Amino acid sequence: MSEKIDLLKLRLAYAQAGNDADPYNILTPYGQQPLYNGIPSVSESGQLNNLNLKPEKSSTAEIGAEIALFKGRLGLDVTGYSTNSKNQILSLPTPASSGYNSQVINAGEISNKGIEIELNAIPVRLNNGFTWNIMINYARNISKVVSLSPGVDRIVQLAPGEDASIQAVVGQRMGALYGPGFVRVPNGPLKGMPIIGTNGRAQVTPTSMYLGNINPDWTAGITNRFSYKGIYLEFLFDMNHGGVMVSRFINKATGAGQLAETAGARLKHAPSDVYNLDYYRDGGVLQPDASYARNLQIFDGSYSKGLIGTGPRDFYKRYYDHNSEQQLVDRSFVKLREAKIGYNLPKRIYANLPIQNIYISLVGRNLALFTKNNQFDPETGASTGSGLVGGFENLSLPTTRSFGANLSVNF
Amino acid sequence: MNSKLFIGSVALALLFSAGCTKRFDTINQNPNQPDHIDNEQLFLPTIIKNSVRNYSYISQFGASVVGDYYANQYNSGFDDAWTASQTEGSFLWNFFGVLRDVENYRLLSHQKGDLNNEGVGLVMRSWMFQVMTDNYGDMPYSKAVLGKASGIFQPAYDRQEDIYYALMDSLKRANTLLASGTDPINSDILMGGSALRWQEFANGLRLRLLMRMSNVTAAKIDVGAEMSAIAADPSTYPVFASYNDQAALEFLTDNGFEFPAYHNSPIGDYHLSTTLETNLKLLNDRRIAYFAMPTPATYGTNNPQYMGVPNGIGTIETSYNGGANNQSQEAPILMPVAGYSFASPIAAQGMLLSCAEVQFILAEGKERGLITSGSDAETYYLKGIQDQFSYDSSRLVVLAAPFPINITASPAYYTQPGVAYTGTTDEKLYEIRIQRGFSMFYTGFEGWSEWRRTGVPKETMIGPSSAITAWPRRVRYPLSEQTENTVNYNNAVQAQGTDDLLTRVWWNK
Repeated sequence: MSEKIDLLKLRLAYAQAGNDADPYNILTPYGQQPLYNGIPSVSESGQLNNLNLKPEKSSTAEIGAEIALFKGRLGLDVTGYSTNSKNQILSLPTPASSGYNSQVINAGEISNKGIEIELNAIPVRLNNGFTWNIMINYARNISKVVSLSPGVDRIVQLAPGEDASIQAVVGQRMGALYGPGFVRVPNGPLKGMPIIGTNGRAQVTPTSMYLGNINPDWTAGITNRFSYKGIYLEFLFDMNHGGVMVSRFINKATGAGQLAETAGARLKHAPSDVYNLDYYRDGGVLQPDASYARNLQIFDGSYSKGLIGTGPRDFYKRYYDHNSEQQLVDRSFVKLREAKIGYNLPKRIYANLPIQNIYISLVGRNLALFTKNNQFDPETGASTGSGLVGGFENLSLPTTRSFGANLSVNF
Repeated sequence: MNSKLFIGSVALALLFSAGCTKRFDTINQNPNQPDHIDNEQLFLPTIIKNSVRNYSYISQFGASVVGDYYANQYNSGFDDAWTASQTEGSFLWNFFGVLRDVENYRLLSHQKGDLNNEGVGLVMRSWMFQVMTDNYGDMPYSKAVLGKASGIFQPAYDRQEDIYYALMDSLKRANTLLASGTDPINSDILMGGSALRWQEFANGLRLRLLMRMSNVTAAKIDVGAEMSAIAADPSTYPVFASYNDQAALEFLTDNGFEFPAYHNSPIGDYHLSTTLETNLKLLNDRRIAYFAMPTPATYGTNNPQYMGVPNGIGTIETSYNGGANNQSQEAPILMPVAGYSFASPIAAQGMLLSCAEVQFILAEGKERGLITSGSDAETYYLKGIQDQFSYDSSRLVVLAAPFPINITASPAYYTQPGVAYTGTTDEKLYEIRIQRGFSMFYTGFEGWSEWRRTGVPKETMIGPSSAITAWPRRVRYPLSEQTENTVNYNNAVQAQGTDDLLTRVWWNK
């Protein structure tokens, strides 16, 4: 073996594991209600539990390789895996007309295939003690529905308050987002543009169409750490690539004229005319000869000249309402998740004390976010009856930025 | 003790204890929530409270607009608030959540032979289905709420016609059960445990259903005969004697049990509609002060004015009639606490069925010759008006507003044209229907349903900001039905017609 290689390891693993349900998923309970004038009362849970629940069983095959080079200056760890989960225990949403909002079921088979890569490197290590470490990780996972339990053709999770839904369909990737979208010009020079109807509004498909997947294509993280004597500086960047979501906030705030984006068109009109004049959406208007003509005819951001116009309410609100495609947001982002600066106090300061080390650090989290939308953090999820669901943003609170100072003393 | 040895033995102990348990029978029993209920009456307060509070809340919003009692910019465009993604809560499809508890209550009562409680369960269930089917038309009924009992999670839809017949059978059966039961109705927060009042509610509801389907040709039952049987035999089929009997939930001052809009309602978004304003002013009806606040411009002056706003105009607040200062806000008894300091959490009630409504149904039945027994039409009609005035006054007493609101009708009110029971049959029917409209204020979607059936008050005009071309005739099914009960939903749309706001339900064809 070459002396440049410190370590070379190959891994092969196969494992099968059972996974049981959380407690209290077997019997459907009755919740106590607040006393009405002192009278006690109960209500049955809207989630129907399952007396015949079976444990989940998942089998994983994994292959991996690890290599360390140049006396630990460079390390690489690559893992590929394939997991099949059978009888996954989950809460299946059911139509309210069944009397229950959801039922606990064993749901067929779901496969996960993916790859994880970790790279560690020390590009710089000087004799004066200066070191630069870099750690990169990368992960890609594709989760597919192999089969569902008999009688269940798909699992649908509705967006709270909006028309979109996440659907798990046999043979498809998990996390498929569906919802109504634009009806588009089928051919000709304006092909692909939204069709503007005779009421001046964009036409919306009557049924749901596939809009994308809520899950990222890949995720990665990069940590850089610089240390010199007792001082160190560390940055962690996280990134997600791909994935879409619908935003209720963008819909509602645009409709109410609260976003800066909605001021543009209005500012082009005199205040007294803001509510009286027509606004024109870009798109194609069907002509008597079955061709399409461009609706918007000036392009200075004023939306004030075109073929078929609408009032401001239709222009902003109805353009977003009940059109999931228009509410769609790219979930890709780069985030400065954490930055840290620390200092290990020199031993001589506490040499006479029974202390092993003391260090102080300043930490900031969520310091910067780079993403395509100006309004919110795409990592936000919406709370539904059965937990937090990614892919829907529902007027959620913004992510918080935090700063902290640590003093750590080890005895 | 040697610490490593200690940690090691704890880890070993954990390893073995996690592996197996002998408590399979109890480990999944939640110590904080029972999984078994023996006393059916524990369900009743939940059933009443959850259904009525929701109903009462909705009565003010979409329902008051589509009933044309109030005008509201957001609702009367018939767009966002009326789409499939909103319709679960706003149009009472979420009664299904309450019906889960009704099934438990009803089945347990039945098993135990508690006839009164079984009857009460049937009445509550029938009321909820009546409200829902009038809004939606065809819907799951015979296969609904059977998730637990039969494992049916995608219930098929029934035709509205069949639902109507089944509901009337249920109500007939409830009346019989309640007449013979001896079991106490202890937890009854609606009717005070009176089986007689529940009987009255059951018979009144049956009259409501009969009247609503009275224009249907080729009905499978004889509407007139059924109504006549009720009118002829008050001891077998008692009906409300006065507003003291009627089905109205008294709210509490306790947190969480107040009149539901008391905390939630935005002040100033809802205005007296022009339609209600016109009809009240035409009769010099002083109840305009019961239905609405004086305009902000005249509030607190010696000459309070009441001005309405038409539904369906886009920018009501900013422009109509000189702006918000000249537009009457909602009724004093409905005021949210954020609006005025006199607002009351208990002045308004959750109204399910009033004595007056039943009297007006009897009056109309008699006038149209459907009913061949009982009193004459004018007697029912006058009793309906008087009882409604008494009821409205009684709520103002509870409100105790710091300014005088006198709504009492003078003797001249009853003798004036438009109220006096004279003229052709059509004129008389119009009078009955106008008064019934006043009496159905705040009773969910009933005012709208009666407009759909009779066209009174006048053909309501659709405004320029509306997303549809005519006043709504039904509401859309909720999105969850399209996505989670797709096959049955599609079959229902095939049978009934497009799932939009203009398709007419069976009794309105």
